[in-house]
Amino acid sequence: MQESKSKLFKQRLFRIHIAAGVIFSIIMYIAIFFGIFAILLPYIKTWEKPSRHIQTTDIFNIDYNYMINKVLEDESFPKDDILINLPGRMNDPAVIITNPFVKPIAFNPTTKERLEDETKEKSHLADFLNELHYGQPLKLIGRLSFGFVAVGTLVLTITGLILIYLFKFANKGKNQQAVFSKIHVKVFTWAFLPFLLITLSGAVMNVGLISSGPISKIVSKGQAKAIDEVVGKVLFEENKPIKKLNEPTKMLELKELLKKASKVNPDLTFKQIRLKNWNDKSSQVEIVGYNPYKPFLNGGIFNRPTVTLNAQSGKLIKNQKVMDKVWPVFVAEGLFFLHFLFGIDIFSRIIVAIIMALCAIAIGFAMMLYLEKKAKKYDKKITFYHWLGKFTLASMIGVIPATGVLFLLQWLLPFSLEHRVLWQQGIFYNVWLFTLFWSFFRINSYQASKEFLYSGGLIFILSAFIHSINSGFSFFELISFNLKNILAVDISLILFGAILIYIAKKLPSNRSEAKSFWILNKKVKYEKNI
Amino acid sequence: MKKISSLLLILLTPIFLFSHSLVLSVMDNEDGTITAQGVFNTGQSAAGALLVLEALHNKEILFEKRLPASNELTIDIPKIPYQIVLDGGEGHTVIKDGIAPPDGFKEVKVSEKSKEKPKKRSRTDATIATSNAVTISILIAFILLLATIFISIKNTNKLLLELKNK
Amino acid sequence: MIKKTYTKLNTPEENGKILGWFRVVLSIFGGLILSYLFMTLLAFILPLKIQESTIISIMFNTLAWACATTWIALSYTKLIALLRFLIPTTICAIALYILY
Repeated sequence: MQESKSKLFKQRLFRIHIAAGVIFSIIMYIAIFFGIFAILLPYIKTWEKPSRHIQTTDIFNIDYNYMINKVLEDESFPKDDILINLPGRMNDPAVIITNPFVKPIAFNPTTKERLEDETKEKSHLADFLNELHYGQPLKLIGRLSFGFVAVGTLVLTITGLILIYLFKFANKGKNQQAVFSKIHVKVFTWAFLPFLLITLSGAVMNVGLISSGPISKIVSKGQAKAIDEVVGKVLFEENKPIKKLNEPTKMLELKELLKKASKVNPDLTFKQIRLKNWNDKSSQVEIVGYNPYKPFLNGGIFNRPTVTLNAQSGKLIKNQKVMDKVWPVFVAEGLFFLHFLFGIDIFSRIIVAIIMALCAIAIGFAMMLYLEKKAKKYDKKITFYHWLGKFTLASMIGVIPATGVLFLLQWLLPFSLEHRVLWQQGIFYNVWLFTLFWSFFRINSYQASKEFLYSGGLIFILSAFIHSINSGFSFFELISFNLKNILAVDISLILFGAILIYIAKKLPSNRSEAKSFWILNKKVKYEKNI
Repeated sequence: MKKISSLLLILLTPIFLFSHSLVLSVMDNEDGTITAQGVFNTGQSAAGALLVLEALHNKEILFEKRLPASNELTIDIPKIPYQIVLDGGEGHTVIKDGIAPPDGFKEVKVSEKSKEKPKKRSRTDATIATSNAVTISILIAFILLLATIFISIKNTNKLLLELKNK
Repeated sequence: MIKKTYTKLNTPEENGKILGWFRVVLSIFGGLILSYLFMTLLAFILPLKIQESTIISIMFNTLAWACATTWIALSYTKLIALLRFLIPTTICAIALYILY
């Protein structure tokens, strides 16, 4: 009885895992694929905009006051609650002066000239890649779908962990299926924790928050209609207005105030300055930063350490440190930290990107495992031509040249072209659809994969060169003008393209070659160990 | 019983999909003026949000000012039908019908010229619908989808024929 | 009729490879209701201010849903699956009614 119970349990567990995997893996892969680009969003955002091909400078040597005065010359610009995004925040080299109710105004930090900031109708590459990763192009339905997929992935993670615990996979098989299974199991055995955290926070954003209305009403006993009304005051810093004295007073130089703030809390990397009652005797500046020595606990959306100073005397008013919050805020911040990676350096971002890329590959191999099991039933009878296989091929591999086209068109389409972003996105979708057509056209999926990878690789490499030509900055000029972040994106594109071409070259050309491809690798390894 | 029904009501009422929304309250001061107050539902101040009074017939801007630190403005009621728009940035625009003055609104003679469609203040980008890029992209997308279906049927038949001939 | 249904629900399937619509629908929607009520109850139970405990509720709501779905779907029989949904949901609902 116990034996049959256990057998049923394991069968059911496997079945849930496989069924959920087949249903959710394609969208989950797409979310991760574009999510990797979203990790590099700050760098892509600088790369894509002509106005950001400027040198950045030390935040302590910028004439912010001049820029603020220039902005305030416009009568319609709000005089209060002005927010200054410092250079380096989200890798943006410009100084951005904004207010919640107006469009931001960008300045060159060295020349103090106002920049012609590209609107989202002119340039929308990085944000578009980010939107694709959480389903925004399909608006509410898209976001909800991606949210449900995230919840499904949590089920996959839970069942997968139970499977690993119960079955203790030996990973020693010698056929294709065994190799696919080994890669899938090994990657997720090590990477499941960051994967779980990132997926969980994604599920919270897309589904959890939207459905939080009833919770808010019940816990507040009918007082609150939305979750923000319940948790807003704990999670977000309160922006209480300060009573204006209506006495115009000379303000200290913001760069001097930044230096003072740096002495108050030397651990912080400053990101933003909020001006309250600027030019008034009651004026205060709230300098928002990130403490890189306390990762997971600050810097994202909920817990942002600040130093508040009097704007005319520089006297310290408040020093809000990282640990000055209640522990549920740390839980929230910790959960979202890996998802947003606000403020963290490029190396940590690359590590997270690599982990997620491995997860995406592991998902791909899981799909291949499933398809291989199906294909084996038709071995020597009929060529395997399955709709799911073709759809998966287009979604997981076909997306690569389509994304390459996005990068290529960013600098190929003239910035003066009307509706250039619509053209760019339209062509992207059509290239992706074309890969779906090509997946069905080519009966041999391996051949189609090679073609997608070759073309994707070439397009990515070309996009770096087109950027170099059309931006007016050759690779050497990028070095000499110290635009190293933009150069890094170009190098990454070329490197990524080269890797794709290498994989395309190495990939077997058909299924029979593939069988010996995977086994051959294992044989060589086994012989080396003797 | 009351608790059950209120609990049920809470669970069944439409889910508010957007937290952090801008709330506009308009009060008639009964002296020919109205007081418009703007605040976010989280209690956060909306000082700086742009309050606009627009004529209904031609969208002419009758009054425009940003909310001060007190989050409210007292304005003379226009004599012609109008709407109150509180612009709190992207995704936070609230529109309400204007309250009539004590003597009622004056009749507005709509001339032929002013009958032309007024500029719509709406969140949707009207230019997307008219863009060539969208039209051509959708057209090509349909062609590709049809081609995919066609090629899939063709290849399936080809493979079945191969199987038959084996 | 009731006895027939009870016997049908209480008999374990021969094969765990087919989940069946009953189990799938019950685990997804039942899991959603159960996890939602449980996390709402958790906000009342945790020894924190309601604003702080609600943060924990909303952050782990979706994970709770995934756990509840898995737990219900892996039940030995359909009857156990139904009971795994009904009993905890009823307890949470009663508790919420008392605490509201």
